Amino acid sequence: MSLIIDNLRKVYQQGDQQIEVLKGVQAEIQEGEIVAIVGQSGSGKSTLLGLLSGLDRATSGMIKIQNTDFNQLSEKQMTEFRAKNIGIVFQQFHLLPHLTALENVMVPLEILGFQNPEAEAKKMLDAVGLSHRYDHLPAKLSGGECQRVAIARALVTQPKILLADEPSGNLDDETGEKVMSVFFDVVRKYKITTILVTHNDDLARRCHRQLVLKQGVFH
Amino acid sequence: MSSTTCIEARGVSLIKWVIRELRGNYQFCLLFLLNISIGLVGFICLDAYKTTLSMSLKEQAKSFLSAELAVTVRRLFNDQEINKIESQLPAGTQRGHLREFFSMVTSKSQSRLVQVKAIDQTYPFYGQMALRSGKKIESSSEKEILSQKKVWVYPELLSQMKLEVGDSLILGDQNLVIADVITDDTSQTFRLASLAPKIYVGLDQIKDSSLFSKGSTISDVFLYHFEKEEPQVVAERIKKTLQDNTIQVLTDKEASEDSGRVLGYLTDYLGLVSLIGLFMSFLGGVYLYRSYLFSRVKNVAIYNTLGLTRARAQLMYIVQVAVLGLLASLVSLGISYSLLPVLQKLLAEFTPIQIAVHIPMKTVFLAIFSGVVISILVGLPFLRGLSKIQVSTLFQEGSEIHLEMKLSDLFFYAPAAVAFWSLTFWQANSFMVTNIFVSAFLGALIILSVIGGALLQSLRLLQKSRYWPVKQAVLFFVRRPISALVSLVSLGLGVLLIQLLPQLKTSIQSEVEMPKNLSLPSIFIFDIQSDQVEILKSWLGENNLKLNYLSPMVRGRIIRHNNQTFEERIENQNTLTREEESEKRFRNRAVNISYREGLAESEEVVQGKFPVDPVKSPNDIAELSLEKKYAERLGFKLGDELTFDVQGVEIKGKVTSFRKVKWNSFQPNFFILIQRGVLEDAPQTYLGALPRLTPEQVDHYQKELVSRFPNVSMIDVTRVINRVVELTEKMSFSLEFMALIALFAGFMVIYSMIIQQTRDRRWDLNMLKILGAKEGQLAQMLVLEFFFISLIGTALGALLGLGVSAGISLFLFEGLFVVNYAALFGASAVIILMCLILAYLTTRKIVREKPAVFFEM
Amino acid sequence: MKAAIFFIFMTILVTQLQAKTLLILGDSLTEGIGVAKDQAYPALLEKKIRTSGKNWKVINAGISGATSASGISRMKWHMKQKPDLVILALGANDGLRGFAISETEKNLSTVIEMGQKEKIQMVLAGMLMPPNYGKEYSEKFKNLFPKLAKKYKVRLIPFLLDQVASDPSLNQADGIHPNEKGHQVVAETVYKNIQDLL
Repeated sequence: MSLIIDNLRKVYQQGDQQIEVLKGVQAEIQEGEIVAIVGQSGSGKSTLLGLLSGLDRATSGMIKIQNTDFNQLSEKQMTEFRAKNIGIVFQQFHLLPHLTALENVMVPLEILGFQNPEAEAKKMLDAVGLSHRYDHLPAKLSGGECQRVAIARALVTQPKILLADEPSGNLDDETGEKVMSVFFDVVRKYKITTILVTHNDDLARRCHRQLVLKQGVFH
Repeated sequence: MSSTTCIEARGVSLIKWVIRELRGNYQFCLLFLLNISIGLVGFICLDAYKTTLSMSLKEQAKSFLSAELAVTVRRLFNDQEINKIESQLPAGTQRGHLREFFSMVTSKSQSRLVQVKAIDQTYPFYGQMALRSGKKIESSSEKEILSQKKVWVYPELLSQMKLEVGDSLILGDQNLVIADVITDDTSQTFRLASLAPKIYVGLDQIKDSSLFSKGSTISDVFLYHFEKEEPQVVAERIKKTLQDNTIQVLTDKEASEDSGRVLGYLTDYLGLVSLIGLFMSFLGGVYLYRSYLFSRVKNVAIYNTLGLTRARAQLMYIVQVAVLGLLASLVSLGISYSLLPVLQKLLAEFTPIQIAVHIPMKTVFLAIFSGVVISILVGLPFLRGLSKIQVSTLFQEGSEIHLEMKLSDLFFYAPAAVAFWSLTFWQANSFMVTNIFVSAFLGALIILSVIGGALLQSLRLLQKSRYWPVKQAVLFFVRRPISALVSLVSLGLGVLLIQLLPQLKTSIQSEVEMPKNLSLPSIFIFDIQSDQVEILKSWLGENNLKLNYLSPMVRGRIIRHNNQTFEERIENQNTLTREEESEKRFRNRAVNISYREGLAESEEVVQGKFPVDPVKSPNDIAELSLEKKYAERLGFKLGDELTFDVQGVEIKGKVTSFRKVKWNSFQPNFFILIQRGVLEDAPQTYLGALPRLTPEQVDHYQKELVSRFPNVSMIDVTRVINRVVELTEKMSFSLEFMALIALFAGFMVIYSMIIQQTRDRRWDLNMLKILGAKEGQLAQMLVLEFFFISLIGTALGALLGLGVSAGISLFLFEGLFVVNYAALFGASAVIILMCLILAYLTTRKIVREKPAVFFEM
Repeated sequence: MKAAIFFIFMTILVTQLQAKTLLILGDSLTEGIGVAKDQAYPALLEKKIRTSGKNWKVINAGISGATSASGISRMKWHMKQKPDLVILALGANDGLRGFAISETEKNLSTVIEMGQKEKIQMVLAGMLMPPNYGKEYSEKFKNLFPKLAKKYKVRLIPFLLDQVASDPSLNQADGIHPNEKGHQVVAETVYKNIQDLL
């Protein structure tokens, strides 16, 4: 599943000042490729993720996944497209606090109307090594476990693309390492096109390729 | 730096933080202010209105009596008695003297019965008379009738005797010139019905005349005006000293019994409404504050790591809520003061006595007290929660800091409960009312929590639903039971309070209002002889008039009650107390018995069944329908047998129904109605009424009737009825208006609670959206969630509201309770709909927001 | 079958009691408002007559508030039981309500004529108006009763409330209606005046 980013610009209006965060980002990512995006704080990584996840709209330019041009999608179609094709992992995990690990992972399946969400979700939790934690609420899980649930949730629908925002940023080194090896195992196993935003060089190096975001463009 | 400046600096920084936090949460601040202010404005205005209304009612009662206290006897007082009476009065009491009696006045052409009121300079201490010449007569006014041989008359006397101002009248042996005509008179008479037009003369002008001599049937009245003591207390003292049952001691309290009772209901109701408003707004406040504090938990933890002790964090939030509360009370006081002119206008409709509406100091104090102290007290349990925060959780990566309440924390509501109890007590001034109100409220709280909680958890059954919006909606209740329960209970209590107002209003209104389609009478005609009925009817028919409410009246004595002698022999009246004697005399009085085909518009059967058909055979015991209060006073029960002596013949009857009669219907009503077919041939007279007529017509027909049916007596009731109709309408309007205001406030509070609740769900909604949920599905989920909460909360709240209203009616309003179905279903439907619509709108709004915040910037 | 009960009761009463009947056609004074039925003067009068050894039944036909106009229909109705003697004690309410004297005179005359036509012994009870009604009216009212008694040659009880009126110890708090002691005095007055007719 290829991802094409063409001359992507994003301008924010702040008072009567215009701030151009992305100034023409250009990239082409092949199916199954794992790409790291590195950059300093404020380089526009989060903005780029917002655009790639379809949660935000670009000022100009194009994002195209296989044959789908984001610009051609309505808000509704975008939501549907995202549900089917894009998985997201957040730095802050963002699990629904009142749902158990299993239920959290089931949500995307249920939204898409899968026949047997429970079995699928269990399979995915097993894959991230949480077979023994199905019925725990997020508050009862450690940070690493939470992030593994989040990864399971992002991948359970077998999306074409996975967007990961500093998945280990909130974890200590040891836990982060454990979580990330699970992460890489899974995305490789399922051959998912992955964009990993990080400023951890070790992590970046484990990817197929690194894109450096600096002053609004890839270098 | 010395230690004091250090503390000062800390104080300054605390205030700075408070202000900064509030500024950062202006939306919460606005909602909170709005909530508390609405309640407080309602409380202040209603309280001011109530205080002023009851003051002016008191004034009105005094103006009926025209003094604080009156002593009257049906003969002349002697000096010894006067000395005795006046020895009991507080120092500085002013005395007025008047005599009232019937007499015949004669003009050149005819003579006529009048009711004479002979007054002195002091009359009236309260109230006033308006004269046609434009003069207003009060205690201090100069009164021409005192010094000259002059008289003021009621207008009908002029037309009845074909006289004009300036003509003269003979009263006793005096020739008096008609000086003016009385167009308005606030005082009542010391005799019952006004059979004849009144005239006012100077007491000194006729004091020595032959009118007052042995055998005169006059009421000798002394009026006393004083301020130092409660009239009732003085009255009791006088009664004790006198030991003479023939002397009546009256105070303003007895002066206006019926309308006073109903107006009493009205002020009680207003007091309740203002309390409910206050409860309501603080309920909203609690809800908002809780929600706000939960959103600040993380901040507190952060402040804590920065060196702010928990105690100081708590203090900061206490100061915050106190500042908000103070702001709310000041805003409310400001708004209330600007509303005073409106209240003044509303009040002016009620009573001719003008008292400036003011906000009593007590109310100002209460408003500020409730604003500040109660705000703090209701926040306490949550503030306690702050001290339990595990700051270390900040380091446990990713875990959320929660402040779920435990049920045991309810204990910390005790101070708030005590404060509310005291507030209610201060307002209601009665232990019973306070306890009923507070315990009803607490009871409702418990029932709502238990049943509501159980019902919410019973939704578990749906948690396996294959349709995810249903499942997600249900899981929210199952996993966050306390949070869901708080929403449900708050909503339920809100609905309960909202229901109380219209329900109680309807009950009072049903007492106040006149029956619909009631044709009000203008003249009561009584003593119509059986053989005159048809002649009178046909003569009236020729004049296109109908004789309404024609009722036969048969006089009889109750001689036996269930085979026990009913009457009480009095051997020596001097050994009886005043109350004993009047109770016995009441039993020994013959009664008027009537019969009719069905119930009149103004009465309803409250127990048993009214006998519509006539008796089947002459040997049957006739069925009796009694007025409820009358039956209670004399101890008659359903099924009791009463034996009457009707002109020497014994008639037996069995009580088969009780009726309730409206006091302001102005229809002839009878304590005792007997089944038809029993008394038709007994000697009887008839009573009837003419429909509403113009004053000229009233005059005309009165004259005609007198000349054609000289034995028939008439009472012109137009004046009385107009006054009561007007009062009734004003009371109805006032009730309606107050209920509407309170209802509006209630809806506002519920509105802000729902808004807050949806805001709490914002994060969840966004997350689900990112996971691919469609707008429609999210709306379904949230609407469903609100549907469950609002349905359960509203249904329970409405039912409890009905129960509490019935209870309050029973204790406060003598058991009159009528269900207002429109309000029951209408308000409930509106609240549920409002919840659903707001849920839908917020979902849409939230879903359309850009959820990019989820990526760390 | 409308309202036959009264009549049936009546006939039963009349046939069962062989006693002679004295009917007092009156107002609240006769009804004895405020006092028990057996303490009102008609009952006391019956007791007096019986202790004197005569078998008379006294019927209390007093109705509070009744005016002389009611006398006619009531007389008609009571005549069904053929009373032997009727004391006509009406008119006080006419006066208190300021009716024209001529009207009262007309009504009372009719009642007396009705009784006399049926050969019933008629007795007229006189009344006075309180002084506050004015000298002129009170005088006229007072003279009405002797005038009628003379015209119809009936026995007159000069003043029914003789010695009772305006004595607080004999009246109830309203100053008009006799109390228990007052009724005893009235019974005595009536008895004295009609004793020889029984």
